[in-house]
Amino acid sequence: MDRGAFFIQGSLVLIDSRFSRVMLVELYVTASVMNNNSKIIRTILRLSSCQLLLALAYSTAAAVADEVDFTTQVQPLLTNHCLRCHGPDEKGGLRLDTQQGLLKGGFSGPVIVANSATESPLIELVVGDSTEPPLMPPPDEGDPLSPAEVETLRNWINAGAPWPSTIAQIELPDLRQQHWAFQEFSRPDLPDASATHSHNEIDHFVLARLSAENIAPSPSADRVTLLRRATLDLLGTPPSPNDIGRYLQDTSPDAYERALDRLFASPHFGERWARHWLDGACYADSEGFETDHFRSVWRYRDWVIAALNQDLGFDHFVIEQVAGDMLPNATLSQKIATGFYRHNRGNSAHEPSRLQGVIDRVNVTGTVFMALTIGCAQCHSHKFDPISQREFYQVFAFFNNSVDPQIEVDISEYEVDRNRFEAKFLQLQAQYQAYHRQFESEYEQWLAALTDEDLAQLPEEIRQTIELPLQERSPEQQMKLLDKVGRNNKQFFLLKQNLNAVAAHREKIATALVLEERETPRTTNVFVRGVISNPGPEVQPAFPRALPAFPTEGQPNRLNFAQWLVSPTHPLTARVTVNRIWQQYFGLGLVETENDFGVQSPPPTHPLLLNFLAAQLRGEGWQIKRLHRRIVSSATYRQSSHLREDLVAVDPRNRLLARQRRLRLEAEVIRDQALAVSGTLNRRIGGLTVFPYQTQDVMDGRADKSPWLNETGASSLRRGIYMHFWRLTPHPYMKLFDVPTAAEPCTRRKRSNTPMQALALLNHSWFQQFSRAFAQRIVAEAGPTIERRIHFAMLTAVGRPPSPLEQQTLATLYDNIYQSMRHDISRAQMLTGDEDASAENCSELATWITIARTLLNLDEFITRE
Amino acid sequence: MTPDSPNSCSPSVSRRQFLEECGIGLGSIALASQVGHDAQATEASINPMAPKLAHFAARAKHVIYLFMMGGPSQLDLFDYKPALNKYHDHPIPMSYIEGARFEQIREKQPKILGSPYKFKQYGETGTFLSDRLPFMQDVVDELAFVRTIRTYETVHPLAQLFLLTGLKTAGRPSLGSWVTYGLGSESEDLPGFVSLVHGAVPQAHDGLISNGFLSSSYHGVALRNQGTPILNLQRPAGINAADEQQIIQAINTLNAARFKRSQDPEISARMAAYELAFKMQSSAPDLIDLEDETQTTLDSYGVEPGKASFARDCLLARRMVERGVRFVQLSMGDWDHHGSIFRDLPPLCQQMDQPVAALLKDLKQRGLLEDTLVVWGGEFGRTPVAQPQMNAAIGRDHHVHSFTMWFAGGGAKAGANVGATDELGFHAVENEVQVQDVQATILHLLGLDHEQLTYRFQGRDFRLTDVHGHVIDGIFS
Repeated sequence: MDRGAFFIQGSLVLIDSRFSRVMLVELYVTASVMNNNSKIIRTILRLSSCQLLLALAYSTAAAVADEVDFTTQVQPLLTNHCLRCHGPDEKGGLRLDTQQGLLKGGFSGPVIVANSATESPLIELVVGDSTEPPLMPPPDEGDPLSPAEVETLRNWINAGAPWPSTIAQIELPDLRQQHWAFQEFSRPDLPDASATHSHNEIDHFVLARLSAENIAPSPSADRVTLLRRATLDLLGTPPSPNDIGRYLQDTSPDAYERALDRLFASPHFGERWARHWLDGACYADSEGFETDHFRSVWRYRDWVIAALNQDLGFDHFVIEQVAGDMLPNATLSQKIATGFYRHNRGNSAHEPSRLQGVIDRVNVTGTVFMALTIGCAQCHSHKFDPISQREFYQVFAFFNNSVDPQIEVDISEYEVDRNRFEAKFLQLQAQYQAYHRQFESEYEQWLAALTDEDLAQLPEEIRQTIELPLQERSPEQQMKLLDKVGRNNKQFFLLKQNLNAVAAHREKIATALVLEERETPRTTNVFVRGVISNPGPEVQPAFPRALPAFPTEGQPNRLNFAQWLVSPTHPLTARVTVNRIWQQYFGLGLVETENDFGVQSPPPTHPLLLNFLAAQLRGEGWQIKRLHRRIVSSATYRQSSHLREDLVAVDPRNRLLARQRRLRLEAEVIRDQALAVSGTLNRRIGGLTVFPYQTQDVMDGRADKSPWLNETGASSLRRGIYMHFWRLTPHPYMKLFDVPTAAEPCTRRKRSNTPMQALALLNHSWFQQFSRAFAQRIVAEAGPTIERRIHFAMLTAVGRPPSPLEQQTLATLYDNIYQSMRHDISRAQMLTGDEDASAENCSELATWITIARTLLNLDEFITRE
Repeated sequence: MTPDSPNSCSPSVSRRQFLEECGIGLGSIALASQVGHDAQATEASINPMAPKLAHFAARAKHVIYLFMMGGPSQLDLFDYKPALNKYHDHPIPMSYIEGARFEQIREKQPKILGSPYKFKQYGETGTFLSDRLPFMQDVVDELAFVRTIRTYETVHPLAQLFLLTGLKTAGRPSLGSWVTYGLGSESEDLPGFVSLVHGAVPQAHDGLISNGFLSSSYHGVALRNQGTPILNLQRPAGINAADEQQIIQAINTLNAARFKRSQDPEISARMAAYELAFKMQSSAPDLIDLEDETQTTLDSYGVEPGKASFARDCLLARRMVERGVRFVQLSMGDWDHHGSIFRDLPPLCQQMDQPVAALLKDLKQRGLLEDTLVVWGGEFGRTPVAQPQMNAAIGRDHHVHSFTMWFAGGGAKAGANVGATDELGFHAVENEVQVQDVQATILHLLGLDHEQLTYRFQGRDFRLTDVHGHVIDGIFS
């Protein structure tokens, strides 16, 4: 009796906390121990009135809990914790999905003793004791049972483990049935759509949804807006006034299609779309971590550009990047493609670091190809998605078997680039030699000043050199000696660091980082709780169970993994790819969480459209350009991006696609565009990275002393994709405009909007230079009148002629600034940097610089409309 | 339509007039930016940072949030627990850790870890402080401690986002964004919400200063953590201030015309950014140039001229508050001591202790402390139990069950002490305080009711504290 009261009071304490389930169970235990409800009631009557109310409420619940309900309490528990292995798989000879299996037990005997939880091995297995964690479920397969669940199990066994006769076998839920993204898909039929608003199949799906919501689509954007939109989206540079002129003159109904022909044929398409892909691959030109040494991965970047330009089928695009080295007679290009996996953290020379790198590779694979947050299963089974910790390491095993070599590549085509580094190297070397000449002259003095103690501290090698007469010293000995002479010279020390870094850089240029499969596979173990120093059970490569199987002869390998990704039944790769490409054109994907198609993700806004595009992609030989073309040809894409008042309330985020969206351009594109507009863009494709100006303090404090070359010539005028990216010290301009950090795969960039961006566009030395060049171009190309020049400037900068208001605003600005400059010619000279020009010419150019600067700062300039 | 005579008005006046001339009126901008806050439907919607009325009388006008990223050990700094030393190396009784969550500790029954630091009582309040904080001794009476903050996220980025945005995943507006959204800024020529990070920039950093669904104007402006804090302040040589004003005005005239056509609220935010950028060209050099500080001041903070440091950030924070910046978020990294805690904690304390104490004194001396709320704390604390490491370089794991924060100035009650932890500093035994309570309290001191500060998004009124939050009792006067 006292015991009963204790339990009830105990449970009252718990009422305030979150463990109401535990409490209920404890009450149930009370009931079963006493086996007489009337005694409990009597006990309750002794409690204070306040407690009584609560206790009564819960004693009712206790009476209900008296019988553990199999279908609502036991079955889910078995399903969640046990049946993945102890169902039809019969691990250890045990299956718990049938009553027969439960009673029979496994290889090591029975697991339950009916009516006696304390004697049932099952309870011991799931509970553990105070020093050992429970044996079941294994930590890499699932989470342990909660105390409440254990109590349910106990009570159920104590009640004789009743099994409803209606349940012959517990059906394991088929994960593929549960979540759309794991289901196979096929090409759906097209919904009907009105011909007036529809250009291709895409529009059928979009219009069907809009008409269901009673929303009208937006009209097409005007022609010039559309041309600029498509050109920026496909090439990342704006249409030139000539392009615009030609397009406007073509009044045939298929003028837009013809413009698209031209855009898709441009080799700059590859540059534009490679950048998106590189974001996902975590591409960067350095290692990261403290040292942040140079990584020579630029050949991989060029591979991506070329592959996209050639429209290499997406299946090959995937296979070559994931396992190009394992293809029969792999070409150099196919090996270089595996550089996809050489942007991970760490360094394969050190085992823990190598393993960390493999973890990164699994994560990139999950995110980029499948939009699965596999990485969550590194430390524990995935909280939401059907990926156990064991499966994480089974995927890990595919990637755990490469050596990560650096291979030599022929760079004879890149003589120009090599010379840039050669020039820097020679320049530093000359300075270094000059120091040595100086030290040579100081040598006797230095030697004389050394005490015996100093001498003793010098390395043996140096002391030996000192002993030798000058003519008998090798050049190397002499060099080391002179380095010592200058060891206290700080400038020399820095120079030497720079020289060493440039020399190392120069050596690495002619190499590429790739994967190469080992002949004897490494063993892969689960890392318990994700801790590398804590290996658990061994695992073999295997495909996650929630996804379709892929038959292979023998143990599947990385090449099979690549083939599996693009196999006809894989439900994710095609849809994930389509969705990310779609996102670049509309700001958001059809699935908003472009990096997570797991069960937590919101469903697609247009599921059939997603399936349609993915099925077409796969059915049409994985031709990516065809997919792009289908999207940019659609009426949906061509709509105006103007916000509509009727949509503000019902669809503020444009998920239904009743209009296009204005999108702020990416860091690189803003700069590329300014270069193009100013007429100075260097359109060369591919090659070594470039180092246009940045403020010196960016490189301060780096452990790696590679210099930023601060180039001013042709190299500084190349597109942003070629700019060197040091992980630890990205260019400040790039950071301001949300360039990803390359630490984790980035599948969607932010589009922030800050005063710091305004300051950069107004005052950064690049943009000052672009304004000047643009002004020179306006003066040279637009004809003599201010009106024509403003027209040309607007057309060049934002791809459309000015409105009367804009014309007038700019003309007024022109007049005022011109007067101001004329009044103080020294300012005009400073702005133009030309002191020899006549006052009139100088003021004129200075004013056009101002107008150019104004246009490069328009919201419209940095936005795709 | 002709723009106004360029010399007669500032760009912002021009923009406003221009918008009116364009017939855009205030209503449609408000519509375009989906404003759901009453204060927003007024004049304020033109300049998103214009000062707005608080809900009730405010105690504080500014916040300096000293965010100690990684989770500093409350047990080695502020929350004195002699029992830790008494029971050092004993397994912690199971009753403490039932249902407890650690991040990395896996032992069933980890061992208690004492603190090697001497604690003594300081000030008139007799508050215990660790000997790692010698400078804080002087200001301890200014502080209002809350010793029992509870959080639920054991992983850094999640816990950081939870603390500052109320949700563990990125995408919600951060505290500073809510504050500037609610109150605007008193600074005409500096951003209302500024962030400085000392040490490695955290993974979730953008989320920690993000405007979320609020207008982009409320995004925190991050200053650089190396070299000069703000780049690109210098106009091109040859363009004088009067020219620049005309240029910015022309830019925004054309932007406004575009806005009229497309109604995209991003344009409106961009226009505000250009106005601010224009003003910052003259105000920001003055802010970051420490020339006018006396050597005594520099020494008191421990600032070395030309060198980035947490001390410099603290001094910049004071200068920003002086200039009317509403919310300054100073983040300091590296407090995550899973191993070698007693080797790594002291040098970090050294970097933090002196400037923070100097900041409080300096604010007080200048009469700024009264309306500046200074908040100190991490995203969680550290465990009273040891996290064993292979090479005996012992550490403390993340502790979500109870950790310490303190508040000073801005209406916080000097010498207050809220909540108490158990003998081992593991759980709250008195006044458990939720993260949302901290958020509600900060808003409260600023004169904002956390239940009224809402924003309608996707058909729902969102607030920082979601459905939680109670103003903490006893920490303000």
